[in-house]
Amino acid sequence: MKTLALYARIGLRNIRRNARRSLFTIAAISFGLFSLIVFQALKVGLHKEMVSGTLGLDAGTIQVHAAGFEANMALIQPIPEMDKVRSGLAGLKLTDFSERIKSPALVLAGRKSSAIMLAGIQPAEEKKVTFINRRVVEGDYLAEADRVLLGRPLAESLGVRPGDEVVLMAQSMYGRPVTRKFVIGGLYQTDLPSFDRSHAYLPLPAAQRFLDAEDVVTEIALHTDPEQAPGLAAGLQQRLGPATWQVRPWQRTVPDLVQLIALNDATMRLLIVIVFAIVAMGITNTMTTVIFERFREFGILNAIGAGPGGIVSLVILESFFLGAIATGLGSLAGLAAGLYLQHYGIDLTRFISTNQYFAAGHVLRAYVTPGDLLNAVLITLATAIAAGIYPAWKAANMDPVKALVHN
Amino acid sequence: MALVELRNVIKTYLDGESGPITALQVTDLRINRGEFVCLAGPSGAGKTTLLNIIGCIDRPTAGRVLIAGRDTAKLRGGQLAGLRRMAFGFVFQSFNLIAVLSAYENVEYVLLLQHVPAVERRQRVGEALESVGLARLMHKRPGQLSGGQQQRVAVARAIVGRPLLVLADEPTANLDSQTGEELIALFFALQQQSQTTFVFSSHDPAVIQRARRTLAMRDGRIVADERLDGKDLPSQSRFSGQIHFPQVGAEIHPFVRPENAHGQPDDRPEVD
Ligand SMILES: Nc1ncnc2c1ncn2[C@@H]1O[C@H](COP(=O)(O)OP(=O)(O)OP(=O)(O)O)[C@@H](O)[C@H]1O
Ligand SMILES: [Mg+2]
Repeated sequence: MKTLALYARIGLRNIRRNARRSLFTIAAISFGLFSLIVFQALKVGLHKEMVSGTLGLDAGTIQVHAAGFEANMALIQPIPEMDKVRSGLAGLKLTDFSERIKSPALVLAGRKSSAIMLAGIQPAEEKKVTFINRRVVEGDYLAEADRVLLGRPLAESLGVRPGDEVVLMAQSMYGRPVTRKFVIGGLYQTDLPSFDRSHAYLPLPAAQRFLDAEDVVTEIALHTDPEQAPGLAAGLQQRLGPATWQVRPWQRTVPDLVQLIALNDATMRLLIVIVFAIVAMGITNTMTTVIFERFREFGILNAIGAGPGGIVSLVILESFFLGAIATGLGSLAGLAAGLYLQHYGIDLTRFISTNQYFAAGHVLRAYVTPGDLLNAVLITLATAIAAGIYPAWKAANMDPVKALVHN
Repeated sequence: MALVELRNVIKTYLDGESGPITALQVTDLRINRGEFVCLAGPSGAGKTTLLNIIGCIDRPTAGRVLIAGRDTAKLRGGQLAGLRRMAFGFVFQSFNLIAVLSAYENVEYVLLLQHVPAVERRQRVGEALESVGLARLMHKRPGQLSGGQQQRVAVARAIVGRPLLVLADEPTANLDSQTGEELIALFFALQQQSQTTFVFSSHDPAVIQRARRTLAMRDGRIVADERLDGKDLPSQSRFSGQIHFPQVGAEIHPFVRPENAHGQPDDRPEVD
């Protein structure tokens, strides 16, 4: 223990003695760690944004449907035994959910028409699941019982404004065509024009009446912690039984998002490997230079009986200290930058035109988690130690005779 | 039992420019406890090779090396390190010390390796530095000390572990002659106090003449073995042309006395 303390002292003093080289190495390691923390934080922030932006648009984190509803989505397929479903949700303390009825429809204005997905939603409950209410740019958000909410790009292409009338056409629950005039109550606009052009909203009772589907609900969208969605969905499914209902977390309702996140994660891992391979080579290179400069010192240590173990600890400690100092600096800098970006974000408006597939805000916010920080620190320290192993082995196997005989 | 015993030791280097070089060939050499021995001889005579083999830094190509009767061939790397740590003290020609450690820390290092407790460590390091006359400079780093002072730190480091044997390879080569002679005088004084065995090498006559026993080397062989015990007088030496024996006289070196201070060695080494 005492000898280790001495080796630590020798290591630290050598680091100080070769200040310029040490600083260079430390700067390289710190920079590696810094970028790791910042990129990781940006990636987590981006993912959070992508998840909340996509799920908050329409999908929610969990959806409940009638089993097998995917077989024909053009049909209105009521969720059976809604009371049982509601009590199941209550039993699991799942309170943030919105009941919907969804049906394909056609919206007509004058000679123009457009195919849309019409959604009847519970205006108050929907606020807990999606952010459509916060994207209303003209008029108001389903304030009146039978007014329709359209996306602004759709309204523009139809040449209509709030207060104007449009005609909605659809198939009733029983397969009969239904047509009705609705006054436009408001316009919304999200970051996804393709979504805005194809989705229209009515209050749930109005939609049910229009579709001749009194009290019918075809979809329940829930809001939960995205991370916990799979577990909660499985719990609810189990509670309800598998035959009649289908409960799916967002990982299954929006699989493309999962894939995109997985791809990002893989890219990040590759980046980490590259950055730390470079860092490791830097340390190994520095330490090997150190070893050859001080080969006499190691010869003497060997001669006076330090033994290979002692020399190995000496070199690895020195490399570890370089890593530890760099870890301190790099993680502080990374944390500062990460928190700055978490607070202020980066405005990407100029870089991103329009994301066609996933909703993500134009201001990217980083998100620093303690786990990621710890992870980055451990990777750096482990790299520093690992990078010391080869030079340490070299030093311990340095022929003491050669080290001592030739001056 | 001799402290060091070499039997038919040969050291051959294969990487010599004109084929293998036999750097050392010693049929029988015994060094007893408490001796004060100098290896003398020109450059390339094999002094360093012999010291390294005695100090178990290097292994012989053939033959046996016994330390206190134990055959070192049977010891593994870790055990050899242990032997060096506990039984030997080393002084080298130059760049002897760890640059980033103070004189005190350089000396203390040996005791840390020996797991000597803190209080005793402090006391012994102090004593060792005191005995080489460096107590005042103990917090200086090697770079802040003169060559002679650095060598004295190395001597303090070599003796602080209370070794059986101190090995010094040309310890005076980088010192001016006055400082060099003082260093050897210091060796002798320490040897007298502690009865530690000293073996050092040199090709400086002024240094060689301070030894109580001189092994003259040439081409890897010991060509003369002279003792200052009255039996091997300078005139009988086959090597007397090169080796000068100590000038006896308290006024020059109070440590050097004509009689062998620690008695007669128990057996006569052979000269090959
Ligand atoms: N590592 C080595 N490889 C090859 N030959 C060596 C090696 N070490 C020593 N020798 C050779 O062995 C012989 C003895 O060398 P050694 O260093 O023991 O002599 P020395 O008496 O210490 O000389 P010096 O006074 O110059 O230090 C020389 O011929 C030398 O060239
Ligand atoms: Mg030599």
